[in-house]
Amino acid sequence: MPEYAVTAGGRTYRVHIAGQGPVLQVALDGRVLPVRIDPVVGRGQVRVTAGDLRLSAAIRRSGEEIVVTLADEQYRLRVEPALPIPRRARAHPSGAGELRAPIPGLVVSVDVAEGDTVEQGRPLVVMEAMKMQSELRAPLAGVVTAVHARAGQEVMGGTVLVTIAPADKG
Amino acid sequence: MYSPVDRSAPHVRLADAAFPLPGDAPSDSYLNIPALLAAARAAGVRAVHPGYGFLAENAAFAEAVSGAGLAYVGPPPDVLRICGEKSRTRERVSAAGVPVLPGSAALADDQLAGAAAQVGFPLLIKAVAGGGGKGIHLVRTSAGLRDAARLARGEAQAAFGDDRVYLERWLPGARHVEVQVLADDTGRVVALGERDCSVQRRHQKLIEETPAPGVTSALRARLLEAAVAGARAMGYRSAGTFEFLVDGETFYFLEVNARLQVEHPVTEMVTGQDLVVEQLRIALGGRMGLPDPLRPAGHAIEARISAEDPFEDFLPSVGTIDGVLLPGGPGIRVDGALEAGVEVTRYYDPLLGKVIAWGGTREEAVARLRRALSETAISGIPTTIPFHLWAFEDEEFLTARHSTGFVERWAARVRGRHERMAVIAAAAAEHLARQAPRLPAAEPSRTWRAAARTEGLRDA
Repeated sequence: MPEYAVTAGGRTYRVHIAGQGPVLQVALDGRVLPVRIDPVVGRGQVRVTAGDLRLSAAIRRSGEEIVVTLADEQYRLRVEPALPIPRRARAHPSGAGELRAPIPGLVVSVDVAEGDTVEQGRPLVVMEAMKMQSELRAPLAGVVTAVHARAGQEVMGGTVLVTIAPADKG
Repeated sequence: MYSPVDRSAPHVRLADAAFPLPGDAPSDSYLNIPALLAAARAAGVRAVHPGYGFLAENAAFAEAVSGAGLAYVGPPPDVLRICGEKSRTRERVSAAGVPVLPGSAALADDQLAGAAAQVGFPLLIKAVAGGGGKGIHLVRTSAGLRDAARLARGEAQAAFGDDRVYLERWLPGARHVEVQVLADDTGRVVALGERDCSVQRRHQKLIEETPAPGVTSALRARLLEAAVAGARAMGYRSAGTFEFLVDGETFYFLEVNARLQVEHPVTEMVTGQDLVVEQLRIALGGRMGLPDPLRPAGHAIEARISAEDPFEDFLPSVGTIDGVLLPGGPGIRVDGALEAGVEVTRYYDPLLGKVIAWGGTREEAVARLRRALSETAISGIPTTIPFHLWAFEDEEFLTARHSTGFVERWAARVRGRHERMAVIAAAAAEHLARQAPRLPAAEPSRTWRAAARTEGLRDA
């Protein structure tokens, strides 16, 4: 019976699953439940039935995580087969030290220059999208090693705007 | 009339006639007065309805429409001019005996600190030309004044082409209550009841309802009377909304929205009147057709479905909607243009649609709306629906004790109820994805490995 290690928040659950659908037998903490996932609409909207409980859910993948939205709650989970199957190393480093555009939009102003020492949380860039302006703040303290954006530039979501070398600790 | 980015939008496909505007950007399309007038002439129309956004409160546009010999479905240009300068509106309405909050006129940067000390903290910096929550920033202490002014001016310049700002006192525990008014050329001014719009984030509304819960009939009568007095004082005509902050039994006038509002359906559902028809009657015949007296019944509530991620601090989301399931049933109305294939771009406001419910009582209306939203599914981009599902079960909202700070409770809510269900769903989804047939990789050596993996994952 395939076994998965599912990490939610800080906790890891062991989940055994048997079957190939539509009804799966899922064992969690010693209880076995019949589970099914039925598509509702589009790519991500489904209805999850586990035993007697039925909930509408949105399930999507985001990088290495599976994002599950159930009513008013959202969980970001990592699912790994418990029997190790070789996986390639992650293509991207963690991304710490980079300020990225959270959504596509217009860079209104860049308030930092290469070589500046910045505190965590200092506003670095103002972006405008959907007629709203928001301040993007330094994700960590350090020295700015590169500024990739300039005022007036249209950027795609995920574009690196500023690179920061983390300050030495201690 | 449509921008090229909207060429496949439902309103373009369903219109009797549709006229393209020159460019994608709002300045080339929905804000382009000469192009809009040319399209109106080509279409041979008699009247122009400005809608809710863009030029809906623009006096120059109203003047250009009238100048072209067409009826403008909205207030006359001089009224739009008064309402467009929030500090002037305050003066006019205050002169009619309606209470206003401490505030300032439009200010230069070096006048801000002095004026702020007079108005008192906390306060709001607001765009003189503001609307739709743009160009408004909350300032709690004098330390935040400069940064907030910079952001407010930037937004105001981008949204309205006018970077002037003014200050207004902020009441943290107050509720946002507004009065719907209709006025015609015969001098008839009618207040069609009030709406509570206290559930907001970034000063944009998320939930609106009528009648406003917690407003006593005595307070209601005073609010409606104040709105009618304000409308008369400025020679108002057509549909408009007078906004107030209500703190206990006292209230203060804020501003006038000189147009039809996004939340007008709740008033329509309770009064049984069509506000757009009344606007057309007034624009084309000078006289409204409302019955006298109005006989409002029951309670109506609206949830705005917006392309924003409530799990990421309501960050606007962009992308393509790949599936939509809309609700129905007794007392449910859905306004919007939601369908699979619609692209949500950064050009527009993130509002996607509205679900409105009517019930005999507030409890019934809220229960119907919650049921309708739990059946609504929008796939492809995050929306505000999870927030609404939470709000309509929150004790503070259900007992109507909420104020304009309500959204802060969302961040502090109890979580983790559905963790086991999420674990099961994620594992099952991963399991099913691994079962799905996969195309063999290019190198033949991968094929046997894929087969071996499938073997390995098969039921023991």
